[in-house]
Amino acid sequence: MKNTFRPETIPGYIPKILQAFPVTIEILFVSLIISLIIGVLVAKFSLSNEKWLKRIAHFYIAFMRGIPTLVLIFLIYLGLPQLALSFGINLSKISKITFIIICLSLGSSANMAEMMRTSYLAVDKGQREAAYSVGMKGFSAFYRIILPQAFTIAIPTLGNNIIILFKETSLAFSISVIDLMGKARAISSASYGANKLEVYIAAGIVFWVICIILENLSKFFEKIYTKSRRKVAI
Amino acid sequence: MINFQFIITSFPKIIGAIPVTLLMAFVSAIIGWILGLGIALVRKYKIPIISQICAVFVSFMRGVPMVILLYISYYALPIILYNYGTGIGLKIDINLLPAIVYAIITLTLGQAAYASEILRCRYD
Repeated sequence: MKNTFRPETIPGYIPKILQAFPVTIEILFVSLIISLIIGVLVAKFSLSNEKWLKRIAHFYIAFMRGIPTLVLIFLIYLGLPQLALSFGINLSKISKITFIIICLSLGSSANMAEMMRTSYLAVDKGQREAAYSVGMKGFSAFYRIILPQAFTIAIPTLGNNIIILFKETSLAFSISVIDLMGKARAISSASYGANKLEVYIAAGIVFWVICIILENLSKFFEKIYTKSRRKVAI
Repeated sequence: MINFQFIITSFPKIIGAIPVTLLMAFVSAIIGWILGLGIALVRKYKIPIISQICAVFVSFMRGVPMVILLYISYYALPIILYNYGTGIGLKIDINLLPAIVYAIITLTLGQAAYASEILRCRYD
């Protein structure tokens, strides 16, 4: 075995891998929005007073957090079309990206729901009572008093969840979607795997830089939001 | 249609692999937390150079998906080991190492990065 590692070729692979960047961003954004919508519903269920709604929400959160995303992807991508076929529905025209988006939104929605629930509960009870005491009704009390405070509490967790979701988009390669990771695999197999290490290090650097950017963005928003809130409070 | 019989018959086979998963989880958790404590201490007392290296390491481990880390370690570690071996005049046969070793090493390092962040938060 000879030393075939040539670090000087790593920078050359980065632009090639970045060609697949729009796909990753598309997956990230669409699944982020869907997971937030599902998360709102599940959080609402788990905060409701109905016992069975609560139970459904808890079961959903436990199930989605307990199952690895990779298993979920295989279950939905390989299993669902087969199951649908037995009911006479043909799912073969749905693109792979759609499947990935479905899986990631389902997996991430549990985290989002937990985040919303905990930050809702973290707002002091007195705030709601104060809102009622000045004559606000249920929705406007929530929208004008509770939500801004809960949102401020949720920002760091939201940033974390977005980073986790972004890292999970790399699992799309497992059903051969050409995202950042899939592109890296394609480049590597185009040269019969001779430059595996260099390509994967390049992919790692790409992910790393984007993660650092996302982290700083989340810190930036946290700063801006808490600053403006403080001004209002004074 | 779903073949429920097949689900039931394949359960024992999947359960048979639980020890492998648990071994990876426990070994990497234990070593990872010990390493993480070390990293957290280094970063708390701001030991020059090592502290900066640890900061970059933690940031890298947290910013790169596990899949890519596994690929990198599986392809990089044999080369590093081999070069180190030839450097000290040893011929190390890398093929002797099973793949699980690479998985455990990667998971351990990842766990160490996360653990160090958790411990560092507690110190402040």
